Amino acid sequence: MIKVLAVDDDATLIFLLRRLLQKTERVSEVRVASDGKEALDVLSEGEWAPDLIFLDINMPVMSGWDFLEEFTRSFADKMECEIVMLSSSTREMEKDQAAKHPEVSKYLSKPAFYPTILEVVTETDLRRSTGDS
Amino acid sequence: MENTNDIIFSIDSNYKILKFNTAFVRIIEGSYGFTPKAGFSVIDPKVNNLTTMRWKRLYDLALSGHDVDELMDADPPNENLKYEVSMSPIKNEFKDVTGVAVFMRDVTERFKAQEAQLEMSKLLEEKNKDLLDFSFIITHNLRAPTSNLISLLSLYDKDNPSTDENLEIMENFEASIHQLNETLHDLTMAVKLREEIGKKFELLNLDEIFTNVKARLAELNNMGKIAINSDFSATPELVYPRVELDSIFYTLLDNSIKFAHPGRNCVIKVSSAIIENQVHLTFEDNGVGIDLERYGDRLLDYTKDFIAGIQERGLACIY
Repeated sequence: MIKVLAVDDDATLIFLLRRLLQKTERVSEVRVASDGKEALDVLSEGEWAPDLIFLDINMPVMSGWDFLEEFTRSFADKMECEIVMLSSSTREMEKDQAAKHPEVSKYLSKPAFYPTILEVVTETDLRRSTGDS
Repeated sequence: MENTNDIIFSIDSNYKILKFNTAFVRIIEGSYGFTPKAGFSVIDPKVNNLTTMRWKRLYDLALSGHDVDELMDADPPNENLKYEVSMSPIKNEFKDVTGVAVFMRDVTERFKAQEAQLEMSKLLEEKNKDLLDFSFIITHNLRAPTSNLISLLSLYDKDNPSTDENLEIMENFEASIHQLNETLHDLTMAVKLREEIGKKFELLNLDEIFTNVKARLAELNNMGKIAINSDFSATPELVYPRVELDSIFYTLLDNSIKFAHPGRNCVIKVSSAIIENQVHLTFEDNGVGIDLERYGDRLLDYTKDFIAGIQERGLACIY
């Protein structure tokens, strides 16, 4: 079972993601942040660390890109966590930009369908259980 | 040699004119006020020093055996004219350079056309970039609610429509449809604006436009606890494109309603004034406010989110 942090300002997307993650039966806990800053606050508390982060790009206060920079600087070497970008963007350059971050394991385009979410969660869960990161 | 407007002349190795055509005479007379004759030195001090130095450099290059091609500005008072200058060394039977043949063509019009073309290309490039940015924003804003609708539909249990889960799905369905509708409204407004910009300036009654906008927003929002005080008495009319003014009022009023402070009744004040011969419109509300230090520079972006959970519009959609 894995812990997931969902970072997105779209309440409907968060609702969907929660449902889809529950359905996988491989997620023990889902926490939510509505922007990059809130996500950093969750991580900074230090009491809880996700195994997987679903990260949107266009968000108020702090975008997904700004979050990634801060995450790399302050958290990447402290926690084993995979980041999956989940975006409505159709720009190829954003996929390329995501690929430059070693913490980003996948770039998914919305809509998020169950089979894709299940695949991502299963892969992370299996890696965690076998200790292969 | 004479049946042309192109300037043709030749010089010897001492910069003295050997042969020339009428066009050459015309330009020397027009620019320097004297009539050239064979034997006249093209680096004559009658011609200003700067010009002499500039041309001497080219003559020397040709006299050293090189072909020369250069775009030159004419001397005052014809400095707006541009000439394409070609120089070729004249050689004797022993291949020694004995002089230079010079051909000059007025390319001012061609140059202007090229500059205009470059300017147009630059403008088109900027327009394309604007269009690309705009289409990206619209695509993104359409994709987000549309993809949510698709995902929600995939979760909907058609066999048991009354489950709590389904009710929650329907609530989110409504939110996504509302978001989609707003984006389509923005798109329609932007298309209208693009059609109208620069076309129709007309005398507009501020109160009439504002009242119309208020009525449209009242159909979408519960205006019960919102007090809107408008006073356009200082300057009731304005010459402006109708769609743009409508968009300004709509965007500001819509944002004021969206960002109403949850702890107090929303009060919006709108007024007009003449300040230094210009019409000023003032919008005030007692909403949640905006961190101008942080977001002030992005206030004019088309669609920027400054406050979590609310899709607001920057003023740039007006233009």
